[in-house]
Amino acid sequence: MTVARLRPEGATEPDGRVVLTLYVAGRAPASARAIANLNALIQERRLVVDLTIVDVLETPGAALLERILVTPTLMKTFPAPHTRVIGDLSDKKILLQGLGLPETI
Amino acid sequence: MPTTPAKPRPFNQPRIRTGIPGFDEVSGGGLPDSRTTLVVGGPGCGKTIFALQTLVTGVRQGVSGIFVAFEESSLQIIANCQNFKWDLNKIVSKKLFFLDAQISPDHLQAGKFDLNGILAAVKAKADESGARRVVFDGIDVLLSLLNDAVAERREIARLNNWLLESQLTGIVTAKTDCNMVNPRLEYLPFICDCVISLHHELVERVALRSLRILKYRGSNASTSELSMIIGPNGIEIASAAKTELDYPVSTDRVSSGVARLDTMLGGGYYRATGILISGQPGTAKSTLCGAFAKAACERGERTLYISYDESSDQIVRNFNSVNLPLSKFKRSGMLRMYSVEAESQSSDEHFLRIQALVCEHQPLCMVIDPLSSLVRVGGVSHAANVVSRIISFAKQRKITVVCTTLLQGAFDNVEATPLQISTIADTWIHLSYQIRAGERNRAITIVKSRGMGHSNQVRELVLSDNGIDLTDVYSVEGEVLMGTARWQRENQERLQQHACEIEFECRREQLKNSQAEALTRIELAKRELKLREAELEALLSQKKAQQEQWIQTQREVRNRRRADLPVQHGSRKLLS
Repeated sequence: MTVARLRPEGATEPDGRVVLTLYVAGRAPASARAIANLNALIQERRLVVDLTIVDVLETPGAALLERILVTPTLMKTFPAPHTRVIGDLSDKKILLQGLGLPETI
Repeated sequence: MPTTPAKPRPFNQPRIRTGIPGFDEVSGGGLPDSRTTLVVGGPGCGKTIFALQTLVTGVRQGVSGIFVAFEESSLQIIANCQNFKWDLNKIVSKKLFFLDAQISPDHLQAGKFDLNGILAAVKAKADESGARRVVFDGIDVLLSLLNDAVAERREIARLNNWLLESQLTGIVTAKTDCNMVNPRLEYLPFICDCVISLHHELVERVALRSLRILKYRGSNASTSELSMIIGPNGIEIASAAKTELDYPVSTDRVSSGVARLDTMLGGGYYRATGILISGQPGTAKSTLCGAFAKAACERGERTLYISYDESSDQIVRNFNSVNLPLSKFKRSGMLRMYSVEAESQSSDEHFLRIQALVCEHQPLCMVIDPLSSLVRVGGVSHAANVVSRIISFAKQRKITVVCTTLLQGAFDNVEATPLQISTIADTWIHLSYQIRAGERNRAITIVKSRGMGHSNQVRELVLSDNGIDLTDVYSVEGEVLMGTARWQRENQERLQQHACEIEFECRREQLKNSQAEALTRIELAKRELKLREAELEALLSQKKAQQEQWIQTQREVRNRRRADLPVQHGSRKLLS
């Protein structure tokens, strides 16, 4: 399992973090784009997230468990509501909607 | 992702059996093993059932399977398939695994995606369970979300490559519109080794299902349309008969139920043949069937009576009135009666029902009355095909089948049947009406009877309280009379005959009398002759006496006269 934790620079609050899991498929183009897009958003909004990246090609069991159909899939497990966003996260509007963030700062 | 080249295919590709009756025979063994099959069709055609039935068959053979449901949820599918006798509940989650892969309608899609997720999940499940077969049901639903033809093509290729690499046997189902064309998926058939299309259409207001193998690489499977029904065991295909016409033949005779008809046929019907009784409504076709059924039951042979016209009780009651009691055979189970409306099912479904009844009851004799009502469902050509299959099926099982067919309207003169089944029936008996002098009489004639010499005479069929009987018809100088006209004419003839005889007697008497008279006259003439002869004799003797008397008198006179007698020659002596 490849785990990467990202924290925006300068953030110090330990609680109130958004817990995200991003399921990718190795180095597939859509998955690479998703990682890049998500990183960009986090940097831009200075989000505090607890991000886990799961590679379904290496751990297919995880995909089965969570019923991951397509890759990439982004799952938000905290705070409620639980949402899923599928796709390479190039559509920012939908991504923000999925994360429960307002469109403009 | 690098792809490994597919293994070279052997000439005789291994197949997996689908367990769908008829399909495995037509396709040469089933679907291609370790390859992908595409099943397309409109909504409600049976694609999901086809795929699931194949998996269930695999489970019965000990091969686990995975069903990935993109369209309906697995619970929905399992609930819908409860009616089939598959024992789904026993095998789900033990040998048959369902993966729900429906994207929720409220999904959030932020860009393009690929199918690696589901493929990884399926692979995990396959490794875990040892499944060798996988179904992707309704893949078009997922792909439509991509909304990009290029992306879809890529994902389809990914799916195909994944299947090839994994060496699993895959069945992919997808919806197409009624023209079997889905622009989205038009490249899919090119990738798959086998493409099957299912069709569901209305023919003359009856729903008919059909299946067609559009493509099957490495096989010479027939690509014609095959009739299909969805029955209690799932899909069943009416396989196009590639079998030779090879029935067991017998020279045994079976009674038709009417003694005189048996004589006309030279002993009766041949066992295990098809007999057709045709005629207009009311010509007693069903009654002849009843006689056949009764004779069969009395011989102890199980009989199946199928009626598309009347209910069983009505038939039994009607036959009671012509001395054909069938109730006791019905009660004892020797006779099984089955009545259903022809329009209630398609002709294929009727055929399957008949098959089921035959397997259950195991009859030796069968009646189908009327067979022609199968035309009412689904058109003539289709019904003709079904009918010939029914008769072939019965003959294969050595069942003697008696069918009736209704002729209507002007057909009576033409002796042609709407179903053209007269060619497959071995014996054809035609019933008709003779309307004359205010009466309707029934005529029966044997049109043909293969393999036996039969009478070519028309007989009159008479129904009475004592049963069915055939009587001779009056036929002279090209005139054929039946019923009371015949009786009248026969009576007339009798009287004429009688009058002739009397006349003859009279004449004979007369001649005798004249003969006697003549004899008498001969007697009289004879007597007269005698009389005349006597008279003649008397006359002669009288004449003689007279002459003597005269001579004597002359002498006396001369003597007394002592006269000088003139000298006469020869009389000198007198003077001395």
